[in-house]
Amino acid sequence: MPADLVDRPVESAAAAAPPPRALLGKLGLALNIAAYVALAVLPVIAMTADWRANDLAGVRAEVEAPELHPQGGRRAFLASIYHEVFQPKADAWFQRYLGLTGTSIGIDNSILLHVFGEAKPGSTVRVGDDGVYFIDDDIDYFNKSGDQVTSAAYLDRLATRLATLQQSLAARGKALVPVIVPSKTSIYRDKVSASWTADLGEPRPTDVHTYQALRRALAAHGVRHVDARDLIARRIAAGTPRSDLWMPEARHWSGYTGCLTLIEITRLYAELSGRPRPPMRCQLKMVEPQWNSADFDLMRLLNALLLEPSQPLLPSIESLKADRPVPEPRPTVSVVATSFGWTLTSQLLETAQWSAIYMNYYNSHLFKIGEQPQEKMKLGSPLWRESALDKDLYIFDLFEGYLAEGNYIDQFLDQAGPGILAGEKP
Amino acid sequence: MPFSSLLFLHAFLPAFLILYWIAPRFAKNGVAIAGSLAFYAWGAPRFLPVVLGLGLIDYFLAARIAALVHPAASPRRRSSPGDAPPPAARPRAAKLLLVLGVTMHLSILAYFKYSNFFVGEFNRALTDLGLGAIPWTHVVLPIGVSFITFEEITYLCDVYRGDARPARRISHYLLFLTLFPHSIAGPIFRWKDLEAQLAHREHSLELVRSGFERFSLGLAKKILLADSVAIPADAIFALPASQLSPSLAWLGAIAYTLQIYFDFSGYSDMAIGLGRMIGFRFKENFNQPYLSASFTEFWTRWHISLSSWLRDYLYIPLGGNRKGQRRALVNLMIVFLLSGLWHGAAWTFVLWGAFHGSIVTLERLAGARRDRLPLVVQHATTLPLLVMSWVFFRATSAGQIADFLTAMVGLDEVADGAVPLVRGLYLPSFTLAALVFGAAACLLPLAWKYRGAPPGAKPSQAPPAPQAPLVPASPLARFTTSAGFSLLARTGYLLLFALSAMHLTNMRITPLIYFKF
Repeated sequence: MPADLVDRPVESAAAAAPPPRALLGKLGLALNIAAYVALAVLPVIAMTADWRANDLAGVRAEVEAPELHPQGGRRAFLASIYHEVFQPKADAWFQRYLGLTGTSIGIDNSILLHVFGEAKPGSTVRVGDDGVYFIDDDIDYFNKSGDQVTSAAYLDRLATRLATLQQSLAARGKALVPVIVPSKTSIYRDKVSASWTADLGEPRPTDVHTYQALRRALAAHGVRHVDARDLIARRIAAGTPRSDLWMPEARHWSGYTGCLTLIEITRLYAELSGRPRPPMRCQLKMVEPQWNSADFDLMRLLNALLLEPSQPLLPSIESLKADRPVPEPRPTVSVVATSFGWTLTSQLLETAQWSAIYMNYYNSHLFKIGEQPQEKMKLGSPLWRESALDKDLYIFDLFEGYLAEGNYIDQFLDQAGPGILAGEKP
Repeated sequence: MPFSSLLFLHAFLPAFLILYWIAPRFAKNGVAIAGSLAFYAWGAPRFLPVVLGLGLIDYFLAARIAALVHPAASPRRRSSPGDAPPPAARPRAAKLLLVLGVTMHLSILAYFKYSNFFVGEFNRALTDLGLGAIPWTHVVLPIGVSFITFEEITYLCDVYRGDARPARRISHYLLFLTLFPHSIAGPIFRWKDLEAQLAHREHSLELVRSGFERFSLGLAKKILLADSVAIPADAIFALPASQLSPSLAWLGAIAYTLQIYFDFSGYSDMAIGLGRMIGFRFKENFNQPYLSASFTEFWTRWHISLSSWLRDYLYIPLGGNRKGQRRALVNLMIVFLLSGLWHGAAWTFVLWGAFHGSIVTLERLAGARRDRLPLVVQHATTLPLLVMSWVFFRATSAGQIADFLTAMVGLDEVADGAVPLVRGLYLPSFTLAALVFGAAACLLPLAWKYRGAPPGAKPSQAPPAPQAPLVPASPLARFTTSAGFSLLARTGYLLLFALSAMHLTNMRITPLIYFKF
C-alpha cells in the first residue's frame, strides 16, 4: 500500500475535499448569478431567435436598421461611428426590435393597472372608475378651463359657413348634415376619476362654451344638424343601457349608436334634399365579444394582462340591408370626419343604398369605401375632386373635442367650399 | 450609453461580463480596457483620442515628476507613497511639470465645458453695448469630461506630493481613467485607491453576486423611484409662475430633491455593483445625505468623492483653515462657488454653490452654539433648506429660482383664473407611492437612529447597541440571519432586477441627471 495513503491524517483528507454544504453554496451562488445573466440576455436571445411574445396593441413605428456595411466600406462605417450617426440608429433599432418587449410591457402595465389602478404615464389611455377607459384627448377636452375653450366668435363663423353651404346645397337638391359628435367624457362623466378631473365646477366650461355654444350658434344661423350627444342622452334617459350605446372599453360610440345617428342623418338628408330617404333600420343584437373588436380598443391599448370584457355580450345590429332599394341613380355621399366616421361609412356601405361613399379622414387621408385603399390627401387630385365635389350628401363630423380654428372641417371648407358652392363637377 | 438603457442592460453588459469572466487572469485588464474604450466611444467617439492622448501625457508627466521628486525611483523601482520630501525640498522642475499638467487639464475642461457659457455671456454684454457679437461655433460637451479631468489632476498631484506612486504600466493608468463603471458620471476615483486593484484583484462568485445585487438596487432607484418622482418635478418646474401655489412649489421641490438623490445615488450604486462584478471594490459615494443635521454634515454624506476631492485638492491647497477663520470662510466660499460651476456652466449653478457656501459659512460662524440646539431643531432647519437649495439646481434661470422660492415661502398668490392641474398628470398613483416610499427610505433611518441616541448626539454618532450575549436573540434577529432570510433577500434582489428591467422597457429611458457634468 502506498505510504502517502496510509500516512495521510484524517483531518487533511477532509480539508482537501470541500464539504457538501460548501459545494451546494457555491452551486447556489453560480445559479444565482446565472439567473441575473439569463434575465439580462434573454431578450436578446428572443430577438435573434425571433420568439413570439405578447403582441402589443397600438402602432409602433418601424425603425431602419443601422448600416453595418455602408457604401464606402469600413472607412465609411467608422466615420458613421465617429460622427455619432451609427449609435443613435443602432440604439433605436435595438429598442424597437428587442425580444420579449410585449411580455415585459404586459407585466409592467398589469402591475400599474391592477395594483395602482392606472395606465403608464404618458399612455394615451386614461383609466376611469369601474373599468371605464378614456382616450387622453377626451380627458384634455373635459378639463379645459374657461379661457382654453373654443371662442364664441369661431363657433359663430363656423355656423355661418355651414349655413351658407347647407342652403346652397339644399337649393340644388343636395344636403349637408353636420353631426355633433360627443366626447366620451360627455357620456361617462361620472366615471372620470377624481385624479383626472380638474376642479372646474359644474357645468364644465366645455359644456357651456363649446357644446351649448355650438348648438346656439347652429340654431342662430338656422343650420339643421344631428346632435348625437343629445340623442345618446335621450336614449339613456329612456332606459337603454349606456354600454349598449358606448362600451366602457371603447374610444368610440357603438355600432348601434352609429346606426341611430345614421337614421337621423338620412332623415335630415331627405328633408333637406327633397329626395327619398334611403331605408335602413337599427335592430339591436347582442353578440359574443371579440377581443379585436373596436369596442375594446382602449382596453387593448392598455397592453396589460388579465383583462376581461366588462360584459359578456357586445351590442351589435342586425343586417342593415333594407328590404326595398332606393330608386336609381343612387345618391353619393362624402363623410368628412374623425374616426367616428368609420362606423357611419361602414354602415352606409352595408345598406347598399349609396352609389359611392367617400371618407375624408381629418382632411389628411381619402378613402373610397369598399373600393380603394387610403390615399394621402392631395389637393386637386382626381380622388380629392371625386370625393369633395358634387356629392348628394355631405356629412360633417363636428366632434366636440376637436372644435378649434383651423381644424379638419375648416380646412375642408377652405379647400372644397368654393367648388361645392359653385356646383363644380369632379 | 447610460446604465439604465436597454442596449447597456441587455447587450453590452452581458457580452462584456461573459468575455471578462472567460478571459484568463492575465488578459482580464485587456478585456476591461477594450470594453471601457468601446463603451466610451459609443457616447463620445470624438473625445476618445483626447482622453487617450491626455492619458499618455499624464503617464509620462507623472513618471517624470516622480523621478524628479524621488531621484532614486524609476518606473520599475519605486519608493513607497508618503516618503516624498517636504514641499520646500521638492525640485522646482517637478512643480513646473505639475503646474503644466494641471493647467493643461483645466484648459481642456474650460474649453469643452465653459467656453460656450463665457463666450455667450461676453457676446451678450457686447450686444447690450450695441457692439457685434464675436462669431462662435458651439462646442459639444463630451460626456464625463468633468470627472476624467478631476481624476487626472488627482493623479498628478498625488504623485507630486508623494501620496501615490506613478503607474507602473500605461495599461493600468488607461484602465483607471476609462473604466466604464465610472468614466461618464463618476464617482471620482483616486489613483492611489485603485492602483493595487488594477494590478491584482480578487474575483469571487460572492463578489459578483453582491455586484449584481448592488446594481439591481441602483437600477431600481433610478428606474422605479427617480424616474417616477421626476414626473411631478418636471411638470411643476414647467409651470409658469402664475400657476405656482405654495403647496405645488413644495411638491415640485421635494420631488426633485428625491429625484436627484435616487438618480445619482442609484447611478453610484450601479457603478459600485459593476465594479464588483469585475473584482473592483469602489468607495461609497453617498451615505444617507438627507439624515444630515447641517449642511456641513450634508457635504460629508453627499457625492463624497467630489466633496473630499474639493477638500483635498482645492480647500486645503488654498490654505484651508490654517490661515485664520476669515481666510477659511473665504476659502469655503471659493470652493462652493467653484463646485457650483463644476456642476454646470450656468449662473443657476453658481447661485446653488453660493447658497450652500453661505449656509456652511454661517454654520461655521455659529460653531458650537448651533450644535447645542436640540437635534430635532437642527434637522428641522436643515432639511427644508436642503429642499430649497435644489430649486437653484433644477431651475433654468435666476427668475425661476425667485418665483419658486417666493411661492415656497407663501408670498406669491396664484393668479385668478389659473388652470387647476389634473392630479393624474403630475401625480399618478405609482408616482405618489414612489414619492412616499422614497421619502420614507430617506428619512425613516433618522427615527431609527434617534432611538437610544444621547441628547445632542447626531444620529450617525449614536452608540452601537450593547452586546448582550446572555440575552437570547430576538426572533427577528434570528430570522434575518437565517438561511431562509438569505434566500428571500436573494430572490428579492433578483425580482427587483427583473421588475426594473421590465419597467425600463415599458417607460424607455430618461437621461441621467448627472450625465453631462
